[in-house]
Amino acid sequence: MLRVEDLSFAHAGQAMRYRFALTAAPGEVTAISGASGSGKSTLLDLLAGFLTPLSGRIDSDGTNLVPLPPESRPVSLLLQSDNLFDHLSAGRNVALGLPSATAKAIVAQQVETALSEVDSAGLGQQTASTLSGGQKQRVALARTLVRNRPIVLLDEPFSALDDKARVATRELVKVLTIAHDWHTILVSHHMDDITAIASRRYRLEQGELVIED
Amino acid sequence: MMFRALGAYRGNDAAAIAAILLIGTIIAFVGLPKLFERIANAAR
Amino acid sequence: MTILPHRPARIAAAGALALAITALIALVLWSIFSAATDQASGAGRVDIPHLLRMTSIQAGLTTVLSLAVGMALARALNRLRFPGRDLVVGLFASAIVTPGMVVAFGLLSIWGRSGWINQASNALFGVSIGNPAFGLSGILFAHVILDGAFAARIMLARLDAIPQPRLKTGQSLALSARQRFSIIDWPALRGTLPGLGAIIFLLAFTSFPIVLLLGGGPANQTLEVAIYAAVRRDFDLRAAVLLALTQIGVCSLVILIASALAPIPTSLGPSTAPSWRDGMAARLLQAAVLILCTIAFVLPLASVLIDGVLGGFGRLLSQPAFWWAALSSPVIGTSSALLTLVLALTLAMGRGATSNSPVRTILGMPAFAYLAVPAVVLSLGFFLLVRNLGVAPALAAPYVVILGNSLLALPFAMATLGPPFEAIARTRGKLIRSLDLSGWRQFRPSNIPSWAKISASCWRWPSVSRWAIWASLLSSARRISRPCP
Repeated sequence: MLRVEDLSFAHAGQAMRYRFALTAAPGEVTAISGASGSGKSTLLDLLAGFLTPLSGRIDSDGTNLVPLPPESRPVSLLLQSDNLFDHLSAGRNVALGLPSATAKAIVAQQVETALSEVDSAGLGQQTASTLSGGQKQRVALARTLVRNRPIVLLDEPFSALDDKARVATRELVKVLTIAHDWHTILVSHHMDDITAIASRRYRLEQGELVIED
Repeated sequence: MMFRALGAYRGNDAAAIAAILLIGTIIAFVGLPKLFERIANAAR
Repeated sequence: MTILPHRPARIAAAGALALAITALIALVLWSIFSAATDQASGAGRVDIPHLLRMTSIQAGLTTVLSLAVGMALARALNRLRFPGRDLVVGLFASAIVTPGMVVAFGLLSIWGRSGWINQASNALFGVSIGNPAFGLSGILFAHVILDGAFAARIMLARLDAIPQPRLKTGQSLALSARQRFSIIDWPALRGTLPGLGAIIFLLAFTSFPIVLLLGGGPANQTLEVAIYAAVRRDFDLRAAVLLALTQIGVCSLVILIASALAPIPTSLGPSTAPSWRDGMAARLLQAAVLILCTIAFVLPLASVLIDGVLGGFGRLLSQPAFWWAALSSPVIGTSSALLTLVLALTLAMGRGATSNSPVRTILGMPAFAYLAVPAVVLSLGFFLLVRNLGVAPALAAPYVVILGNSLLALPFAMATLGPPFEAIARTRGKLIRSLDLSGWRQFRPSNIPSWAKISASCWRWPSVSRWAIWASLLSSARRISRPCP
């Protein structure tokens, strides 16, 4: 279980003080919606460790994540864009999710398995810059698979995709979340994405999360 | 002027000119753009 | 397809100006050629292959060392956060306008025969370390101080412009310092290297005051200094023309190759704070690089200030020549900056108004041609032109200096002004057309701040060549009155 308990934060020079509290269950997509500037990305940055809260706790199966730096948190990220390093092949991008000491044969096998699971088996050798928006997000999801971290943070991951790719990618996110017991937090301002895959929904209002039925 | 001072073995003069040149450069590089930006901000 | 605003007047004005600049280049070169043809003496005394070899070695080494130092320094500045960091970044940025002869003078007062190091070494151990500030080592040291800092500032802007999502992804993947460099930093930096390398090569290739002060004799002469010597010492115009043609040829080649490889980088973007720190070992190395570079950059400048203050300004202040220079320099500088701004605005606005590639080249080439023309050659050409017109050189000197400075600063001002103008034309083209806005209506009060900001950044470029070439041109203006028969 992922529990965010009374997590407070304020940006320097801004009067707005955020107070976040939420619960996310494994195998479920938890959605956060809210107007632009309501603090959705701030919440994700706090969860990922890019921002330090003033107080509060992020509890993941009994461990407080707040003192941990971003790279040590059990978290994978999927952003709207720039998820891949354009000059590397799709396969190498996926391989970055594995520890650098992993044997080459194991890397190759895990990359291939992960790419197959996201229906991108033939893309391993292709340079990331030549991939379409949907393919890029799939490759980034394959990297999330090999990283094997229980919390997956999605920041508007479908916004840059066309309708077809959007539906396919969000279905893939749902399937993977269930299959791998991820605690998936989806930040989006598109209600159709949220209603399609979220089991639990929160709305950000005046710096606080309000649960929706 | 600095070259001429050096050529005439007037090291002290050359040093003083070099120092003035350096101060002038820093003022021109830092001060003028700051002044322009201040004018720009005031016009907003 | 990009829709550009309809601005025939801007294109016409830029076209007329480009034509005038081209005519001026032609007149200047023609003056030199005709004077050289009239001259009976030959150019037998100049050893062009030797000069070319020495200049290329010096410029090549300067380029490689400056890029390496610049990259290490930019990385250190990008990673480390400490009180006074903005001041240090600003300090290295000021290398762009720090006069070469000030650095050369500073190096002499530290490393020279009677410099600080020799005095300390003599006092402590009774031995002298010689004169490392003279010769190739001194020239390289002075060039790398200035050009390395310049390279660092340009590369820092690139590193600071790396998209935040990419850094977040890298950090969440726990990339090591080495992986971070090869996967994130290097792709951002490598695009700047050909253009930046070409600029540094050209700066070193055409270096004048540093080589003159620290060259230590003909063995380390560059083409630019050889042209100066040929004109000033021997008034051998044939030799000067041959040397100038060689220099123009090499510089043009470098510009052509560089422009084919990559755009010339000029961006000096804001420095943003990254949240991702490297490991302790990498940070210690970066701190060491930063401290060493800061000492190497600050020490010569500090020594100039200290020597200047200790030497006393009294004798200098009593000289009328000083007051003449002190008063005329700001006037000439300001006039050059304003003229540069007008010329660059006209050309940049014209280029921004058309997407026709040949027209854009025609409007840009004359300005960029001055990158290849040595300052000494320009001064000489102007002098001969003025003399041919029957005007007294001393009377024309201030105007020639202002015009010469502006023309030499034009490529840098164009490179600074061009991209914002083109961005405005491209991103707002449809809007401007649909609203049928004329060019002048964009200069409404609401737009003044952005124009003023652009102009503020442009002000720095005239200073670049103004202060760096100030001595060269100002002394040329005086110099040209000497060999006058």
